[in-house]
Amino acid sequence: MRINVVYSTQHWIFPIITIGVLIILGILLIAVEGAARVKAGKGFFAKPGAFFEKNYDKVKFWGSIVLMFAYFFMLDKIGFTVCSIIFLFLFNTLFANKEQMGTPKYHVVSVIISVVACLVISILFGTIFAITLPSGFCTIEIPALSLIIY
Amino acid sequence: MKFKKLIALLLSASMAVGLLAGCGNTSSGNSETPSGEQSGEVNNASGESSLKGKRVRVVIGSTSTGGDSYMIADMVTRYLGEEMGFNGKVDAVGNAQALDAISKADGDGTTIMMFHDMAFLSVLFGAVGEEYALENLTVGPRIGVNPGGCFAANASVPYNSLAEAAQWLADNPSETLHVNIESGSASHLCFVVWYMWAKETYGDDVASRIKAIVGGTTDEKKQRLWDGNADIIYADYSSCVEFTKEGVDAQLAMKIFDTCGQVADESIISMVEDGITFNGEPFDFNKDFFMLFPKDMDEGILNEITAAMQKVCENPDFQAEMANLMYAAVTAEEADLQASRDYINAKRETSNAIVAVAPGLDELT
Amino acid sequence: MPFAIGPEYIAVALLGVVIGIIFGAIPGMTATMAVAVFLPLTYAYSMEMALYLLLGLYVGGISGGLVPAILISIPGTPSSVCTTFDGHPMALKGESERALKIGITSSFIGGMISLVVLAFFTPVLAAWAIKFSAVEKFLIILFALTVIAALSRGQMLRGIWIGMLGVLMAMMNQFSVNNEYRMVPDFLKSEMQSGFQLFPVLIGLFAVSEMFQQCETGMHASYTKEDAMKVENKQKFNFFRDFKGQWINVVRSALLGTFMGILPGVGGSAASLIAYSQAKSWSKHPELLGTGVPEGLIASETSNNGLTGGALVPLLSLGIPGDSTTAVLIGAFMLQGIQVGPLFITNNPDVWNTVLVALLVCNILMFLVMFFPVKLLAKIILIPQERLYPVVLMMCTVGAYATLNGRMFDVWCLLFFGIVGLLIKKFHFPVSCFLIGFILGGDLEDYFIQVLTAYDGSLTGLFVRPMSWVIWALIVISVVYAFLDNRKAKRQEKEAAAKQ
Repeated sequence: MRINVVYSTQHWIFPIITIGVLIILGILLIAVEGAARVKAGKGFFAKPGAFFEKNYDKVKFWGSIVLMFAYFFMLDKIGFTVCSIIFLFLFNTLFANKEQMGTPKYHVVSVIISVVACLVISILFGTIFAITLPSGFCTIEIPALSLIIY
Repeated sequence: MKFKKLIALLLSASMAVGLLAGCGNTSSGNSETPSGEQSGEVNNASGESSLKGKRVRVVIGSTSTGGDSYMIADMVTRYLGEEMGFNGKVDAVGNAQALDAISKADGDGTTIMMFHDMAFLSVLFGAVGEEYALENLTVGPRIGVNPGGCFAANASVPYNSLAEAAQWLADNPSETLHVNIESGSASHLCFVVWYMWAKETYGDDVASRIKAIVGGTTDEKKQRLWDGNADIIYADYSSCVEFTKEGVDAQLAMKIFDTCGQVADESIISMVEDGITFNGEPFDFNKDFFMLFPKDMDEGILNEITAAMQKVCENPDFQAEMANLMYAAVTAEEADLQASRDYINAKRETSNAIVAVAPGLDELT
Repeated sequence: MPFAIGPEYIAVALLGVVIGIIFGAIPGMTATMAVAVFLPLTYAYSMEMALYLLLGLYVGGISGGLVPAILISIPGTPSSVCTTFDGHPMALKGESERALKIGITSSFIGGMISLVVLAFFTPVLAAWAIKFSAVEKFLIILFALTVIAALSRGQMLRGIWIGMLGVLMAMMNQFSVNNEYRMVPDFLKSEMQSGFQLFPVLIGLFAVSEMFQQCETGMHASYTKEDAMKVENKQKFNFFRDFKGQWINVVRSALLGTFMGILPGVGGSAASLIAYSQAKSWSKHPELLGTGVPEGLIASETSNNGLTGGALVPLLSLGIPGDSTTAVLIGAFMLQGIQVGPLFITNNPDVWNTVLVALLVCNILMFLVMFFPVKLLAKIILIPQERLYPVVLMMCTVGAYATLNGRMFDVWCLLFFGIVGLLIKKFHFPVSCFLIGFILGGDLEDYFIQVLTAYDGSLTGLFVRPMSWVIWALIVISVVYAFLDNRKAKRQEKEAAAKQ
């Protein structure tokens, strides 16, 4: 078996092989599983089950996706530390169950966790280890001490 | 008892972290002190530097933090930061990403791209889009040279230079030479120049027996040399020189020839000395490092950076540190803004001319 | 034999190990990153001091990955992916402390075995390793891919299919040989020159998708206060009992890891994958692997620490790094004006001895630093999910952003692959198989194209070299074994169904 390797098109050789295998295996997969279902006395195609669990928590699920989107979107606008503190608190609030929602103590702890965790990580990695973190308008620079808190 | 142990460990760990913070500070302090009192003066002198106290992000076109791009950028950033009083950080983000970052950056000097010829070669060879052509950016001062691009072969081969290799092909009509290069880089240019020279000098038959193997890091190329899949590789002088020394296992031993620039090692022939020509002109191609800025770069800041760079170029510590890694510093005149631009543009023209007449890699592989 | 040792060196090594463990334990932060961050610090150090620090970071970074892998099922580093397979189920059974201790001990033993190999066999092995051409490397990657078959027990076709999809996804980039893009939308070209980065993909698939799933079911804590009691009382770690009958596994996995490290250009994560699939193939009760038995955990952790010594072999004897972390180490040697290459050991015996001693010290320190605070670490599993996930997400964000030194694109990948991971799970495909395909896909293609180029487009190249026959045999054995195992699993399933 030979495959003609042309320099300018060789970047497609392996993807095409992979796609080919995917199609063949895909057909095989459907056939085998379908046959097994027929054998078990069901239809060839499985009835599509419900995508989500029964009574899934709509607020938490969609909320977490939206919140994550907003978090990433704001990261390099606000700056890492402040943005993370805000969103960590929001996540903590989102994930709270009903009972927790009503207890002020839960939210106080949320604030403490958010502030402490974000500051520790930001100072440890951003300031001490000098890893570049997202910066925005809340990024603090103290040039005299060559200090930066993202 | 166990709990005590735990506390002791935790304490020592936290001490370690404390120590680290200390180290971090002292080291940054140290890097400022090698020049002793001088650095104090410099800091005073550059008191009005627009970048003083700012954080400067230096992006480079390589993703490796061990290669020449990182080493040179890091050194320049340290010395330049000292000179101008900014706090620099080199981020190895890769070529396309670095070009993208610099073209979108603010023109206030807080983002600098430092890279070599690949910055314009990648546009020339179409690896990145035209929007990153030098016209759409601002070329800054040159910062250094890695003269070490060279060709290497197993020590046992009968030829000692590219010219001899072509001659050897002419003498042995059944032989072929596989040369490992990278596409869209200095190695690509040097290779096609040799190829065209061989074609001109020895004719099509010899040229047709020169084959390119494209791709791979320096390490992968070396392995191809060792496992016999490549006869000649293009590599960096500093990464191969150890293998040319006495006492190296025969399977690993290499010979180096035809450096594309001029290395300090006199015993190694350069492409110019080897008589390889392009359009009748001797051909050399150093790996030149320079700065790039966004198109709407602030002139005043750019001039400050250039002036500081020229100062750094004259700093003996900097020159020594560069030489230690087998790189060469440029002179203050060469780092001049206009001189740098003329130089880089001229180099791009040469590269353009070569690419225009060179056969494509479809034909050469 | 002179070498450098002293309290100041040990202090620096301790520092390196602790920081390394922190980097390793935070998802998305890796040993490579730790070494790269501290490299500039070594300007001010002597060579010996720098070695103690950097090797400490290396050993710590590789080892730290087991903590989140076991406790929250998020591999801290790519090489601890397999640790999650058995480590996390153990933790869920309430044996998190035992799992951690087994993992740490395995790491230590793996590191020591590879150190012995490094100390005594370096020149021989280096000469041998360079005989491996693209053909053998392609086959080794293929061999590592067979772990997919072993993992997707009972649903092999699905596992392979999703694994191939991972391979395909790994190719969404600019092909490095001819600089041509494939499968990349125009507007992402500058972001995706090198494709999707491994860490955001890994974290997205494992951590973010898990978070979404937990959200879906309403974030009910997996542990309550009553469970905390159980955790205390579960089976304790006992070195002799837990490692009884495991010595072949230990030695095999450590040597496999070391060997993968020695081979330049075969990534570190392949080591634990191969070790894990071999542990499964040779096991007396393969069906138990993946349900929380020490065997799989031992295989994964000994092999990924075996890598440390192995990866130094080609670095110190050929100047060619064995993995991405040692690639950064080259910079440290260069900065000190030492050329690593074929003459390094002969010309710098002191430095060479120091490397060995430093590696020994770092391994011992790693063990001490990790083993004794385990009780405290094990409590992480008791942190309620609503508290844990936000913090994990924040750390992952830092890791993703830092992957390529500061890009928002990698952060967005977290979200994207979180959703991809969720979809994969929803359609009942094994996520880990997708990830393994993704990890190995790039290398698989590179070597495949290299083989084709070397043999002028002919596939016979894959069969002509004697060394390749051995690997082919291993691949065939693995696949056949996995196939039989798959059938057995299906049969058992049916029997179980029939009984009900």
